[in-house]
Amino acid sequence: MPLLSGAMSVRRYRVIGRSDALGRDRLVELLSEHCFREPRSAAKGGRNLGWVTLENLCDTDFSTQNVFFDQYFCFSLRIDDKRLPAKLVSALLDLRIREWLSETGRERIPSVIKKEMREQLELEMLPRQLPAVGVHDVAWDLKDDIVRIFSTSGATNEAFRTHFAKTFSLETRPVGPLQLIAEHKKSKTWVPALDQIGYADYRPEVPR
Amino acid sequence: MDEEYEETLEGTTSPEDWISGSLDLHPADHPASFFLGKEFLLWLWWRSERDFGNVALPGFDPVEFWIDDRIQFKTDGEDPQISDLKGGAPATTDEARTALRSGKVVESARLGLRIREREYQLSLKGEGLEIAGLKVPGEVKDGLDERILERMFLLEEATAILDALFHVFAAERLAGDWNTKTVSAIRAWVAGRPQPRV
Repeated sequence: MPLLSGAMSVRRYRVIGRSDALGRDRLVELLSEHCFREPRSAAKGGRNLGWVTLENLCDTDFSTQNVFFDQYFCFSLRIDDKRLPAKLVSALLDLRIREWLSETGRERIPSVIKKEMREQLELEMLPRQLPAVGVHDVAWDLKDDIVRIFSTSGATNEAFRTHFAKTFSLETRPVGPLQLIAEHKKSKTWVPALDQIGYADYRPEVPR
Repeated sequence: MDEEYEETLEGTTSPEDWISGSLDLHPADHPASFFLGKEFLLWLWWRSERDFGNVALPGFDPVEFWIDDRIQFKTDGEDPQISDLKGGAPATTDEARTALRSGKVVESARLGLRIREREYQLSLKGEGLEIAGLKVPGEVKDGLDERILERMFLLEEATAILDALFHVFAAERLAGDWNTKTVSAIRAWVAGRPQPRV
C-alpha cells in the first residue's frame, strides 16, 4: 500500500470535464457500482478487476468516511489474474491424449477433440486455482482534479484509465513534459516553440 | 475542452477511444515528447554541478538537488546500448562523462532533493517524467487520515519541486538562444572544460 507506507511509484493524470453534479455522494455511488466483484463461476479464468477500499482488498463497502481525506478521494484498484500453469496443463493434456488414443486405437487425435479436452481440463482445474492479486492505490485530488495511481506499469495504468472512465465517465490525460508546458501560464509562447525545436547534440566538438 | 478535442470525441464511443484520442492529441506523439524529458535530466545533472545543486524556484524556499546513486544511459536506434551506473556517486565518474561524450542519452536517474529539513530520493524517467521509488521523510506512524495527508503533502511537494525545475528548464529550452548559449555551455561541461555561467 504505497499510499500508506513505503516508497512510492506513481503516474498522474489530469481529470477532464468533471462537473459540479459529480459530488461526493455520487462519487461513492459510482465507486460502489464498479467495485470489485468475485466472478460468478470459480471456473472462470482471466482478468477481473474493480475498486476496493484502501485498507482491505476484500472490502467494497464504500462510504464517505472511508474514501475522503480532506480533498483526496482515495481507494484502490484490485486486479485479479487467474491463469493455469501452462506446463502443467500441457502435461496433463498429453496424458489424456495418450489415454484417448489407446482407447480408440487411433494414431492421431482430431484437433476438435483435443480442443474439447483442453477446455474440460481447464474447467476442472480453474476452480482449484487461486488468482494472482494486484492492488494499486489511487488518490484523486478533487481540488486540482489530478488523479494519481501508485503504479508505473503500463498495463496497470491502461486498465486503471479504462475502468476510471467506465466508472466516472471522465477522461484522464497523462501529465508529462508536454502537458506541463501546455498547462503553464507561458503556454501561448511555449507551445508554438515546441514545434521549432529538435534533438540537440551535446557531444563536445572535436578540435580539428 | 478545446474544439479539436471535442471533434475527436464526437466519433468515439468508449473509454478506450478516449484514451487513444487523448494520446493522439497530447503527450505521446509530439516529437518533443521523445527527448524533452531526457534533456531535462541532462540539464538537471549539469545544473547540479554548475550551481552546486542550489536553485531558487518561484514560490519555494531554497532547494538543493543532486544526482544520487544511479544513472542510466541509452543510445538511440533499433539496437540500443544501455549503460547503468549504480552505487556511490556515479554521475561524478569518468564513465558517466564518457557516456555523454559518446552520444548516449540520459534515460533515467536517481535524484535527491532537499528543501528545509526535508530530503527526498526518487528515480525519474526521462520519457514521461515518471516518478518511481520515491522515499519521503514521513514521521506519522498512526492514524489513517494523518498518514494519508502527510504522505500526499510530501508527494505533492516533491512533485511540485520537480515541476518547478522543469519549468525553469522549459523556459531556457524553448528560448531562441538555447543552441548558441546553453548547448555550448553543456558541451564545455561534458568536455570537462571551464564553462562560463549562462
